[in-house]
Amino acid sequence: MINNYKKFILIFLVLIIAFISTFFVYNKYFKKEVIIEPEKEVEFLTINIDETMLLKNENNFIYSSSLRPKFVILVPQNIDIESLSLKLDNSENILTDKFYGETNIDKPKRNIIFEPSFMLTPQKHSLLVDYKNIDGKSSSMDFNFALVFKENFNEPLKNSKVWIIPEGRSPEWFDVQNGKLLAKPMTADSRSSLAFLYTFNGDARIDFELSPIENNVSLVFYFLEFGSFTIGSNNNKDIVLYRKNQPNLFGEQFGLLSGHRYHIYLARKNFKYELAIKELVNDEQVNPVAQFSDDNILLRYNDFSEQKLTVHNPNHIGFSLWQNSNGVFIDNIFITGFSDYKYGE
Amino acid sequence: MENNKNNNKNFLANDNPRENGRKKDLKDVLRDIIKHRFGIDFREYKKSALIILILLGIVFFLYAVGFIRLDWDFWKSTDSGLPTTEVSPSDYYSDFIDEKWVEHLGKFYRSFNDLNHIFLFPETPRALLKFHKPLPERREIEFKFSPLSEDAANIVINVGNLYEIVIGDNNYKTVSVKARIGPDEKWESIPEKQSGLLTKDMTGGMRKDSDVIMKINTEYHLDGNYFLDLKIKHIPIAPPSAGLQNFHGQYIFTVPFQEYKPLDISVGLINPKLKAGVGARFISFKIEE
Repeated sequence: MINNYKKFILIFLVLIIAFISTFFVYNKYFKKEVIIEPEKEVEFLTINIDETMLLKNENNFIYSSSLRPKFVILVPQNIDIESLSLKLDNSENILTDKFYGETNIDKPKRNIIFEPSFMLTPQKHSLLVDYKNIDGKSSSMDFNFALVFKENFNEPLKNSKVWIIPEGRSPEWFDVQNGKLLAKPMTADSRSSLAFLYTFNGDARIDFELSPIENNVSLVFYFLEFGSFTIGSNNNKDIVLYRKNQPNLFGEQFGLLSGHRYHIYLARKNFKYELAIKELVNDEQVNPVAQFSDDNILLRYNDFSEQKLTVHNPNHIGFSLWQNSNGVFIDNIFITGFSDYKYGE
Repeated sequence: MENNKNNNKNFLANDNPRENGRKKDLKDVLRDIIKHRFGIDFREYKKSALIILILLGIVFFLYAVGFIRLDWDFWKSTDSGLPTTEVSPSDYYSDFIDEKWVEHLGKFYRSFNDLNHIFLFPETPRALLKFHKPLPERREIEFKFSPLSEDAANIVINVGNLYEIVIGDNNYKTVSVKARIGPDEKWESIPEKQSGLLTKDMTGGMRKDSDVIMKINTEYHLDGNYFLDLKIKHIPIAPPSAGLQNFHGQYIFTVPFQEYKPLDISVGLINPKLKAGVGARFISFKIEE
């Protein structure tokens, strides 16, 4: 009786193991893929970066708060999806080199998703795509895109991945309030600065929204080792460029009113600088690709003397306040190391 | 009475005497062959066979659910037919604790608590760990480390005493390359191809005690030009929430000899100012296949 009982248990165990093994092996090796309704077939190879489709022979602008944009490549049927290679700024194939990030190839849906493992610099990038058609013929396409850092101040400053309070500067003069950056009025013996992580040794374009709190604006935007542009220097209208050991350069005046919103535009191209201000009315937002006419440009400066110095010393950029400022609100900042303004061309 | 029963049994068993006899004979013959040929008597090993079957079932079950993995490629030859190098697959990964790294030029010290943590005393100008085999051409190398010194990383990678990469030369932010070029083979700084800079900054520098991944790709051309492609993934010193950054530098220089040969590679620390000890955690070294 006992022997029968043991035999029964053994047979039962063997049956259970056999059943589970068969189930797993079937699922692992033999289960047929679920047939999914095919996606609408793409006709051309398209590359989208953060949902912006890249166009050939165009200046494509990608706006990103994380600087880790997602690349989505849609591959038509006539291209061998596995042959596709993507080279960023003359790199190796970023789709296969794990150093650059994670790649997910979805063959049934004919798409490739690449997510970079590091933050890309906000500047102009080149992208070379090599692939083989199903008939074995090799082809390639190249694109350019300017990655623009976009800051909406949705998080406290301490969580920021790009804004730095430089050593020796107090962290209390810049704060995020109601989704805007507040540069607070300071005491007589204090110094403030908020630096951007990335440096620029060439072209740069900065656009942001400014709202003065009272009549003394005194907001500084600096290119370290070159000089600083002061908006409302000790008042609400003077635009001044201060440089070390150089006379101050005054631009045209612009009356800034407290509570109003202004689009501040600053650009450097081939070491020629320009600054413009435009009032934003109603729901108007900062347009980071806006072209400013000569009437809007308040200050221009051609930096011949400093050019060599700046080439070899990448400039930190950032905000600061004069000590007598009444404070300002800043929002919707766009920064990129690519400038496309036409001055001097 | 008893005899009658047996007779009945025999009669029933021999209902189809030709077929039964054949089956029985074949079974017995097979058993006898196995018994005499291999010394295994199936009648005796019935229980053992059942246990072996169950054990095989368990192993199969564990494999099926993914608890154990088998390398089905173990039978494949590793010989690709290409010219062989001295580096074998066992060399592809090392962790600086194994015997693949030998002390070379200077004396290192290791922390008791963390053997990967190596450091130099202030009086030692430099020390290197040399890989036990020279490296073949066109291999990608990945070196992972964490700088631990107070003011400067001072990490050096020396390749064949031909060129040297210094990460954080008396600071926590620069990358520089020196090579022995020209007829007198003097050490000279090599400018980075794109920027023209002799020392190029990493965005925001490197954070102390954070992992830094460095990839080195080299190509030697028969005209004597050496191409060095350097990528470094690092976390900047500030802001505290900063994400990973990528440094990319390309360097070209002409080496004094015209003939390619595998080169020794050494990694270590330099302490040129002899002011304070320097240290780092050398985590891993990979040679890509």
